[in-house]
Amino acid sequence: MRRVVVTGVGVLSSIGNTLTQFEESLRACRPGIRPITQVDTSRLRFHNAAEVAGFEPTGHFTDSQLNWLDRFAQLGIVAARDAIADSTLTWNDELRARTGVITGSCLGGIGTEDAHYFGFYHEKKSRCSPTAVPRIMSNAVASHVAMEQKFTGATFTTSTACSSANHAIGQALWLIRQGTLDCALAGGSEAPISFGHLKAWEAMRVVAPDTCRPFSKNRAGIILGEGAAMLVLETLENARARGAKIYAELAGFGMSADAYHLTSPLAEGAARAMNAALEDGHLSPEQINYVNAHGTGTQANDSTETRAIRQVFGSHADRLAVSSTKSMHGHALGAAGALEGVATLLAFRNNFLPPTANFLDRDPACDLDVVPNEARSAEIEAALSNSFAFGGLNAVLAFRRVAE
Amino acid sequence: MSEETVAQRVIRIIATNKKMAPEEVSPATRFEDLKMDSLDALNMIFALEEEFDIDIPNEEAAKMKSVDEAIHGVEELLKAKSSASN
Repeated sequence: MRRVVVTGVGVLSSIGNTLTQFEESLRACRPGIRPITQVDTSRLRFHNAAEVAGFEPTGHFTDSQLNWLDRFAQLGIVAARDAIADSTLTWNDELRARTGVITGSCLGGIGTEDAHYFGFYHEKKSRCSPTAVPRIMSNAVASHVAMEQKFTGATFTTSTACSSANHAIGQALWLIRQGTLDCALAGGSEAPISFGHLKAWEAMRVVAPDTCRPFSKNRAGIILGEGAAMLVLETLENARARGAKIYAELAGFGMSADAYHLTSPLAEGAARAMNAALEDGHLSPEQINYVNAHGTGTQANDSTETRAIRQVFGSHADRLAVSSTKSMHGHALGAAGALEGVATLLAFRNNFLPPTANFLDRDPACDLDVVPNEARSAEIEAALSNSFAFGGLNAVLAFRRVAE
Repeated sequence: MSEETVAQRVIRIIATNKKMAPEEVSPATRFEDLKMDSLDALNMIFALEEEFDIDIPNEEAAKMKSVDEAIHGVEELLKAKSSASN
């Protein structure tokens, strides 16, 4: 069986637009949750989000390119470029033909869509830019990265709400493992900060008024996040042959559907996805040291996820470190699994456990070691990264340390 | 015909929301007895906001566990709204 490893990473998020900044923020337990800047929040019940800061599109794209790119695509393309550079892969036509781009996005170009609707409905405009449709389409990142890099292998986009990125990365793993691809760019990107979309979240009453406090007793909900992260995946054989640095093996992928409720989570569904990822990666529960939790900070998710972890790990759950990095980079929806995958890969590469920030009082319903408020040194051997979407669609990645 | 009272309007909204006859809903009815899940509750709060043109903050919504409490909550918010506009 072909084994798949991660050899390149790119990330842009509210806690850093480079891998180094992202890691520094995780280690310092420094959240990127701040007052929203991209839209006027005076007609919103919440005012904070985890926006990407200091990103200058004109530093990365020409004006004519930007005409075709919604912010979610800009972030995704830059993350892909950074991941490719980080991988130090040497490209030739043969490899490009066997490389695919598989991206996740929940919302696509919703900022562009919102602006156009505002123009039509409010400003009574009679026409919009002819680039609107390709800006809005959720597969924009996959298509632009493929065109820019001349990658011509299997390329597509998954859209499964908050699990989009994990479903994308998992598909990439399986396509390489089964021999369809030799290399993949996989991840997710999201730019959800548009007024119309924020109003929709307001109506769901799941956004915290202040900050995101996963697993704390008085947690009050999610904080929306913005960002993108991309991974370069290739075979272990190829990575070793070229002497590449290896973050970790992407050992397994598991998914499930709750088939239960559109918004209420189900512990059994989450547990089935975690078990499937362990089985796919030939890992026993006892081999896992760290779980990067879905950990949204809602009352329902965090207690249900705790029950699911206990179902899967039994007494080993008390020896696990479980943290939610959403407490720092926010809930980036279709990019969430990619950002959290990067946090997990850094944990392997640089031997630390990313903390759960903003933690206050313990909740008896979340009685796990959540690495509260302080990163910790640790050498982990294997880890899971959980994503559980609205609509009950669960996707879990399993990573394992591997010698370079 | 007399105008519908606030209580009657709240009951009508809840009954419509749960696809019941208004006569089946009384002020004493508790939402858990109507088998309201979290999405039903969200939809009901939204429908009340639309009906009365009020904003129901999360902490007020959390106090509405029965029809009576919903009526009381709406009445208080209507009072606050009318004093704010005076």
